[in-house]
Amino acid sequence: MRFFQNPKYKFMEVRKIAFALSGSLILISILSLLLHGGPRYSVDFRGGTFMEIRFEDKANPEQPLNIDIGRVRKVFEEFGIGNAEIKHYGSMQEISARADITQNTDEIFHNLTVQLSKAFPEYNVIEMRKETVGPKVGKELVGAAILAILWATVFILLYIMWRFEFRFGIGAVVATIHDVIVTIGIFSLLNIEISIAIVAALLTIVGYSLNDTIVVYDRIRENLKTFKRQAVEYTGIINRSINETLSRTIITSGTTMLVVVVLYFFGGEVLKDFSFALICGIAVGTYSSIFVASPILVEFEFRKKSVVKK
Amino acid sequence: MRRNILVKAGIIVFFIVLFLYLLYPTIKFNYLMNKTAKDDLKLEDPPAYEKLLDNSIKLGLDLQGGMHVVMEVDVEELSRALAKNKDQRFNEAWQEARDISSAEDRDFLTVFAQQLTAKGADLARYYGTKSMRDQSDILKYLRAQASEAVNRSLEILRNRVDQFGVSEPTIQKQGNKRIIIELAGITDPQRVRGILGQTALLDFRLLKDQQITQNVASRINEYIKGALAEVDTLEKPPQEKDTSIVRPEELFGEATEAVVDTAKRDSVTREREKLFKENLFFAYPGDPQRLLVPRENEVRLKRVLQEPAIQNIIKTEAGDAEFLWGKLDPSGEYYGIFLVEKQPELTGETIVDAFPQPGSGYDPGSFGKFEVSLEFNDEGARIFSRVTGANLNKRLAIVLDGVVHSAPVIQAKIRDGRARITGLETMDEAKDLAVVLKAGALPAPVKILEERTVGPSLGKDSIRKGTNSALLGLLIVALFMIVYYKFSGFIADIALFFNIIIIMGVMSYFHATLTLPGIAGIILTIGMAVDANVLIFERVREEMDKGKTVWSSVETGYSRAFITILDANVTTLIAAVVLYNFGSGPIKGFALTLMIGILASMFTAIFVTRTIFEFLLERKIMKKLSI
Repeated sequence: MRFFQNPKYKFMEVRKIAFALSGSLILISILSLLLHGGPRYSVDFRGGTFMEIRFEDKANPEQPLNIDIGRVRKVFEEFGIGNAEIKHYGSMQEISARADITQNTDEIFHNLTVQLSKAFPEYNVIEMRKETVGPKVGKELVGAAILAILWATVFILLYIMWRFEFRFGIGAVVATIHDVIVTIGIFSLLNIEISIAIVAALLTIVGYSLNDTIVVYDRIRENLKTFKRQAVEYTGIINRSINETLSRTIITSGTTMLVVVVLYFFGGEVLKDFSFALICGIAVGTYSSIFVASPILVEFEFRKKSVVKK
Repeated sequence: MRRNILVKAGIIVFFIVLFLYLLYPTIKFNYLMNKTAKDDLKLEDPPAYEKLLDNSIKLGLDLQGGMHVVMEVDVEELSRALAKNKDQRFNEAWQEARDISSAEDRDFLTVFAQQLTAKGADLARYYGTKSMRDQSDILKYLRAQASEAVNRSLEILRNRVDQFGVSEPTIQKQGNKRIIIELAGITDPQRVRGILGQTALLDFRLLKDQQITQNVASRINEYIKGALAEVDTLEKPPQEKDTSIVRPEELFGEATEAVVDTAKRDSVTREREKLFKENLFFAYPGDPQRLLVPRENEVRLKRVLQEPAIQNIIKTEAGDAEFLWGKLDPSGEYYGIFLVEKQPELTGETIVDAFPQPGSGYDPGSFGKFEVSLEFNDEGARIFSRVTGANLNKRLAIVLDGVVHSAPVIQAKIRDGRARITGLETMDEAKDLAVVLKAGALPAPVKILEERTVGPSLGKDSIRKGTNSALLGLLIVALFMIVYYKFSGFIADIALFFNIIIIMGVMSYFHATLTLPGIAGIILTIGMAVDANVLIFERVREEMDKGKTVWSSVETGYSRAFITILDANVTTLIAAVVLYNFGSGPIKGFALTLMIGILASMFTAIFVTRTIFEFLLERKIMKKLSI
């Protein structure tokens, strides 16, 4: 079985369209971030308390329930945290709540579930998870996360410059930053929180997107050497390289995507946002290695030539 | 050439066996043993149980449920507690400094000193002594106090975690001021919070005389001997086993289930036999008042000491006394256990200061050794003088939260409230003891910065879903590879499977903890592990399209793809390493699995599958390449 038998797509010819597309994606992402006042941080970064509570029918625990958020909020109001963000989590019988409290949260959480059992006498109320992060820790984490992404980018840039050429390094880093911004943008548009797990996912996307880009670059490097003496046009070599690696790109992205999609649907609520970030990242990363990282090389080549002509 | 392949095959087999061996404890613990078998082993042979647990992959708190707490020393509270002559100005400056430092994210002590200066006061007014008047000295002193407070909290916490009955508690110092506590399987965070928050209880208690201690020990030994004989007679006539008989299990508080299963009763009998055979108490030759308990007897002995009959023996022989445990001796094999008075002579609140120092040269016994000096307040000095005067040559145990840390002999009546505990072997020992002595005296205020609780049901849910999706993902990818690359895909699947064994084996070896993000990391590696093989296979196909022979296509395919795989994986590896260094707990787990996964996939793709191909082609098992 073979998906692409000798493909001859002219990728570089549509690079202007790709640039326009990428440009507008980034623009939309940044606009969305500006409108939302920055990324929506989870309690990991913002400080506060996240609570997860599950309801089960006393007589028949397996029976699916539909919990009324309004009734839950009434109980929260008794504790002065009626402004907490309460929503269904995973299923209709589980709820999550985010409140801006960091003191005595055990006690509040415990009393909350006791009150909830009174409000819903027919159900068992189960404390699933509670995470409290003080505001100080949150601030430190934001700093650490930004540093982590910066450091990773710097090291990788250095490695690529050493193994390839300067322009390859620039192309790879631009493509990677493109992927990270677009992923954060998608999260912002869909109003999904950025937690520590999402930062991990972003770093994985950095690694994955680079992996993808490097494979294409590697072929470009090889073909540039092979066709150096022949009068083959630069764009032609790049098109050829992308086409030669196309089936690999599609298969690897496809298998990784399959696995992550499985994780998204069957991995449980805790991993849902994490795997969603990876799905976006893999899609955008595959696109960017063909339509962002490679065209940048072509642009470099044209700029160089126009300078020489003068 | 042929020999070459055999060597390669040997290397591969060696690695498979190695990683399976590393993985064996995990498989044994999680799949081959049921709960009773585990409980039995825990009773029978605690060191073996611990070793097994140690060598198997641990589940993170997010998978088994539990509590993760990050605490930090409350420098603000500490500086208030240490200040003398607090007045209006102090309180105002303190309050302002607290607001400013939290709002502007600045160092509290620096801001506090500034605020005091602005009000025309200075630190020396509240913290100064004759020898310490300079502001920078006082700041240094306060910072040192903060860092000491962390050590005290650590000591207190270590002392207390036993109470939770957690199998493997983690208590770590992070940086200068933070402590991380991880308690797996804890279901009642409120209780933990309560116990962690209590102030430490330090007291001094007299040891019972040597003669009494020995008597109690031999009486207990006799009792256990007798009890053991009883079990034997009970067991012989089977017809007597009706419900009216008091079973030994009930004596031990074991028979909670309605049906008494034989395995359990056997283990109780064996427990006694072992105790009897190995002797409950070893008197330490140089120190008859310190009884030694082999480490593996710890759990059993603790249970036996709870029995009312044993409690009675202690009462009749020694009066109002109890056994208190000491610390594990340096060899790690024995616990000390001491028979002490229930009533403390004085408590740690009366201690003003304690510090370690080298032994003085005056007295030949202390030369080259180390000691701890301690100072009592007036009330403490008065009581201490009376206690030491009345109990010369007796021994006084220093007990922190119910654990004996030291039991020095009272050598003289101490009138001025300044005592020395001499004859300590190392400076570290002296430092530790000083920390213990101050634990009861000084507050070590801590505040909780971060707290995560995962309920056990969520943990189970996560494991199930995580493992299921990992298996499903693996299956889909494996099937795809076979459909797309036929027989070669099958070889890639073998490599993939091997890959997973390597990841788990390495995790076992490093005693790594498997977290939910860790499972995600493994799943992601599955996706990426096939990448290396895809790169190779695509290359081989290209070479074959050019009309090369099978052998040369395989050779060229592997060598050309190698460079690509290397560059591509090194970049991902860099991202994973950065992630590992930045991340906290769960993220570290993810980064670790990703790192191991990348390295493993390079090994399996480049080395393992290549060897398999070469082997098959050379032996002419495979003449055409099915790819």
